[in-house]
Amino acid sequence: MRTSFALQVAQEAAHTLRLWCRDGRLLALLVLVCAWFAAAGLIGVDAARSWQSEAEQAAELDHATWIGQGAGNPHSVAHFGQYAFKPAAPLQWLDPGVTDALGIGVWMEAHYQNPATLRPIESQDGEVLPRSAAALLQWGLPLLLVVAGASLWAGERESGRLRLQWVQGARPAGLLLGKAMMLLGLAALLWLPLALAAWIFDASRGAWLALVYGLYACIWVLTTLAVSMFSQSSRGALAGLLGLWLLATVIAPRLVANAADQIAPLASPEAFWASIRTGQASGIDGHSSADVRRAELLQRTLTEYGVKREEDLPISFAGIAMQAGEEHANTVYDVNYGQLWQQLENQDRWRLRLAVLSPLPALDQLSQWAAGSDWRHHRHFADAAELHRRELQRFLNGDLTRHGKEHGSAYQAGPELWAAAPRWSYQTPVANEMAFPSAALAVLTAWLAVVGAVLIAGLRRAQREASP
Amino acid sequence: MNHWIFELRLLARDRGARLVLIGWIALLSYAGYGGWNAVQVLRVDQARFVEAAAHERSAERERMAAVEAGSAPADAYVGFPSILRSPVLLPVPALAALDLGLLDRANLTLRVSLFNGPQQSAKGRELQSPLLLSTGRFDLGFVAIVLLPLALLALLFAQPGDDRGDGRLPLLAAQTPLSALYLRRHVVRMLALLLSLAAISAATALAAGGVAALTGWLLWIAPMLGWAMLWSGACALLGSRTSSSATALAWLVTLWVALLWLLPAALDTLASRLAPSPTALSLLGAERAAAQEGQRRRDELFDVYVSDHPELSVETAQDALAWTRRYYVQQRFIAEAMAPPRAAAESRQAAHRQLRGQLLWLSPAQALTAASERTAGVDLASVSRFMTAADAHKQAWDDALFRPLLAGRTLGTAELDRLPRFVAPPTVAAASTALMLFVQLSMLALLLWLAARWRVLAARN
Repeated sequence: MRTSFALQVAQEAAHTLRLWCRDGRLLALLVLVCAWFAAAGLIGVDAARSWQSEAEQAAELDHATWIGQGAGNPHSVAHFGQYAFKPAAPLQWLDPGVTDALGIGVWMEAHYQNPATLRPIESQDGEVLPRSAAALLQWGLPLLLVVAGASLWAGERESGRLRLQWVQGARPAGLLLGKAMMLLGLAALLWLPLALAAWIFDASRGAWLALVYGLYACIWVLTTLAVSMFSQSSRGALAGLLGLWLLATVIAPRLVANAADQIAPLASPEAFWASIRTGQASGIDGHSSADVRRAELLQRTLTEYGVKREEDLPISFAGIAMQAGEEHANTVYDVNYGQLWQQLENQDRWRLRLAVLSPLPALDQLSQWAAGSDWRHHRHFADAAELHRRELQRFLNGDLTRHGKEHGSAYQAGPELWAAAPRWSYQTPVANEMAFPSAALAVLTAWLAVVGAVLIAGLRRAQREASP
Repeated sequence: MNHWIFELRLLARDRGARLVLIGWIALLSYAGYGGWNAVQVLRVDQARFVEAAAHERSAERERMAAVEAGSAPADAYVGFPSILRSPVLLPVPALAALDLGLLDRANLTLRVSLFNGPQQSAKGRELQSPLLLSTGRFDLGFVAIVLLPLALLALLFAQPGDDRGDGRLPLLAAQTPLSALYLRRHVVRMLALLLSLAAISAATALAAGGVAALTGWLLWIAPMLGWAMLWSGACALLGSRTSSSATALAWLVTLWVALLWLLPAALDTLASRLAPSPTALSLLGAERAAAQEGQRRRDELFDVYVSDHPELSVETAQDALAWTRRYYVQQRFIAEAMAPPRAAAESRQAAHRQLRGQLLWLSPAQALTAASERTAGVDLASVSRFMTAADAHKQAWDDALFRPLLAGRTLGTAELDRLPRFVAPPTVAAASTALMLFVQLSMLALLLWLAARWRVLAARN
């Protein structure tokens, strides 16, 4: 019995393959999608390599500029600052995620925690639709499955082959499994190169990508078969599936992102900086002699050194005031940037809630996480840059405090100080270091379960049709 | 019964068509609301910016008036030229409610001062939602360019495939010329989609910009009409030449993928390869090196500047604000040092845009996107015009203020009132682009209709 079932599955698979080979449309679409996927991958690899090499060159140049400074006041040099350049994400070539919408470099200067600047998106002309290799998989793979699978069940019901099969004692589960295997095989034509290439670039991230895109392919295989089973005609199945494809891949992602932004909007840049100015104005800023907190700090410093007047201090009070100003500003930045990240978190949460329309927002989160191109990876980079900025300011203000007493604002430090300053370096975190978007995986799994349940309902219906 | 009324009834009886129309109107309504809402949000932000700038100016004026009247002690900082800032603003165009284009990533509000040009004052404004920027806006431009062909496809792909499948085609061919029959059907279905697009887009333009926006709206909708006609022609051609409606649908979807996805991607890749545009990082190194050199040679540069400009009265004393005079000269040095690399980058960028602009005419979807953004005043050219005007304003601001700065004196209220104010450049009407695109798309649609094989179809059946 088991052998005959396996044989039936194999026969059905072979029959499906014969049907596909005869269909010129499918072959044309397959060649088109595969060729374009390969081209998008190659273009992506080239773009990611250029990004990486430009970032490395810019970092070297910036370090040389920093080291090559002549004599200067440490606070002037702190204002000149350093730049932190973001390396290309591990699998950015496959899924650039939101990297183009976020900046490449962070200017680490005194007093300001700047957001990353130099966003590639600012100089890009409008794209009609996204076109990375990942985007191609997200819409091209389902399209291929839909065109290949729409008539697999409905068409055979139409032509009467199914009835013939039931008369000959075929089991619906065997037919369904044979067709499903072939659809999965078709998906593997795109999925396998993806998994292999991603694994070569970064094994652990590649494995996650392969898993999530595998799940996504399964969702579309099951959806295609379920719609085909419930449709009266192959025309109806194709129209219905193309409608679903359109909704899930073209309309829903944009609709969901826009709706999430309307429900949980980000503060405007104007409001963001106004809030920071308000926070800073309420405390010491390092430049204002009239500030009450400055007076308190001076009093504490005088007490600590056991002297009565600022002139009697053995160190430069300006350096201490600068550092205190930095530390106060740091608390203000922590609050405001914390709110900004929280707002992005809320948008992500809303995108997942609205993922009832399509599995794509959930896949998008998982894919960007695995590729290292989501905003959380960007936050990791921005936080590291900010830690470095604070360390650099502490270093420069420390020097000003120790050596700035004698010459006041005319104090000039030499190149040896710049060479001794902490040097920026950044390593992109491995996948395990970043919080896994488990909610997105749960949504994707729920989609698979729901579609699977619909398919089982279709199979039961087919079994009733097949029973004498 | 009148043929047109018959077609209308046929459309009304078609359950699938009803579903498509309901979905279409729902998406249009959401896109219209989204565009209008985005424009309102931007306008509220701009109003806050204008209010804050006005508050800043009036507070400074009050301080200056108090010093002038002698009711407040003289203060070197009050009315000091480098403290004054001028607001620079690109008003949100009303038609941005139809197509937001680059507005959500461009810097529309800037503050120009002696030390900061438009580019520098944009610092720290990169805080828009990356999720939204990378996905794109769901506005009427997106619906009209990307979804309108699909809605048309859904209404037209089965013409005449279904009639042939049902065996009705010979009867129909005997009663009336097939080309006239299907032309009526196409027109009725196209109008059902286009009228709703026209109504909702006109309402959105009216809500965002009043009656004055309607002329621009006409220019915006005209190429969309041509776009719809082109897809109707494609449906007619493929429908008349394929054996079944399912085959026609598969080919039409492939055509949509090719025109909306593959062709734009291929042309952009070609433009980037043939005329690469400079990357965001390319100018930074030169700018940092110039800034460093300027800082290192600040005193020397200032001395040279003073000796080179005997006509200026330059205060060289080391007072508390002496650094501002040196800093201004340093900024001029950086601007001069950056002029050649910036010009080179701009020339590369211009070459890229020129090539891309020429290639756009091969890709109807991109040509439409460009025309829609241009008509709405939200394209790269409009933003560039604004930045050029902002640069000119910065120059005027510098011309008015650098003499008092170098002389180390403060301004009075009369001088403050005479300072130049920024005037946004007028939007450039894109009538010729829009109308030319409409004509080209319509001609192409006509060719497709003429290539349809209605006679052969009638004869065969």
